[in-house]
Amino acid sequence: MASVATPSRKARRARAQQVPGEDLIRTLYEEHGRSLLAYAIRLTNDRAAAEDVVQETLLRAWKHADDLEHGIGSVRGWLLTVARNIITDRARARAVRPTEVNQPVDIPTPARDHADDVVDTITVMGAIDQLTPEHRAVIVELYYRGHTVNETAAVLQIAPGTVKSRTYHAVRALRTAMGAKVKGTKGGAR
Amino acid sequence: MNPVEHDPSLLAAYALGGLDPAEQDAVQAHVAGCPDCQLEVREFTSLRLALDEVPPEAFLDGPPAGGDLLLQKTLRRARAELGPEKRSRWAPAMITVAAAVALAVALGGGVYLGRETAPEQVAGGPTTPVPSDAKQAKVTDPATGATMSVTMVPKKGWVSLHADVSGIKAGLNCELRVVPKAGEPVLAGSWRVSPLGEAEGTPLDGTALVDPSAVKAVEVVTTEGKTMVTVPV
Repeated sequence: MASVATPSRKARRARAQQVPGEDLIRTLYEEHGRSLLAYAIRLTNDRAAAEDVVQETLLRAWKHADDLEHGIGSVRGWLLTVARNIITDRARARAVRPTEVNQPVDIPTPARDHADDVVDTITVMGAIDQLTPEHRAVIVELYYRGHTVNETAAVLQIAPGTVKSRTYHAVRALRTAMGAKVKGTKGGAR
Repeated sequence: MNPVEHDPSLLAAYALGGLDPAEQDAVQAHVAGCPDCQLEVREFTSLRLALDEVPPEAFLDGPPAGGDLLLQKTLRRARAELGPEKRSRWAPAMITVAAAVALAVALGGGVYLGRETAPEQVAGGPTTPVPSDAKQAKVTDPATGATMSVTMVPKKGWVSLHADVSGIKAGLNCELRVVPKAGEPVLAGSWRVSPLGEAEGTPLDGTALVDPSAVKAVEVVTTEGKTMVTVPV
């Protein structure tokens, strides 16, 4: 009898270790882990805390897999928003605000006086994902990586004039993609 | 207005701050006197604010550098969190587990038979009288601050242990091992230190297939390989 019971206990234990949806966590980690961790490290300035935020973010994605699959916008936008919310909540709990670092750009900026003008990370990521690869590349290099036109031209191996015109067309495409949302969506991620 | 300077294709790069300083100044000077360009710059600038909703890290791809330890930790937490309240959500999987449980119950005679014959294997807990042939020892490691008080009861060809381990930080994964005079240490149990365990010590029972006469010491090591405390017996 005991020899029969032992394999069944083993089988039960093996099955209990197989978590439903585990593949989702693996896939998200493989695709977005670097992005999430780097973002969390910058906001928390603490590697251990950042790793914990990444874990928590992936667990929330795992628990809300339906939102992730059926939501509009990008998965990465969703994950980054969740990570930021976790960090903000924890910082608020400690009554310390995290520092959000924006790139310094020396041009006048209009005041954010209308909540309706604010769009969220998920929407913007979704719009960027809709760009052609060429347009996406100039936006990423020129804006998010903070390169000048000439640096972007060197990275992408295209002429500076091409960078300028692609940036122009990319920005117009983004404006079209976000058009309705820029006017109609309140920033839920804030 | 200098018609050479009126170049709308520059405005996006300008609004995104991507021009060289000299060029940025030149465009600014032009825009100051050009209502058409001002309108477009205003639109691009509000779009730039939208872009700021996305952090630069959003454009890094792949897994974090340095292996999948973080993934493994996450999966472990997922397993730990799969409590009863999730059962409705993961119904199919849970039915499978339930079926396995039912099978185990059907075979319960064997399970219980195993348990019934087991008690002599359970080491002397705090309330169990310590057998006369037991060996007791206590050591505090000066380097780690970890303390282990251990009682080893010799059996025929193996040993039974009761240990109290304190002074180890909560959250560390530890192993209790029996070190033979020759050969590799033998695992007698493993656990994760709880906050209570850190504060008040963790009571542990374990067994190891090492002949009592061959035992050199009992040790606690972390799963990362750091020896916390070694008690010679």
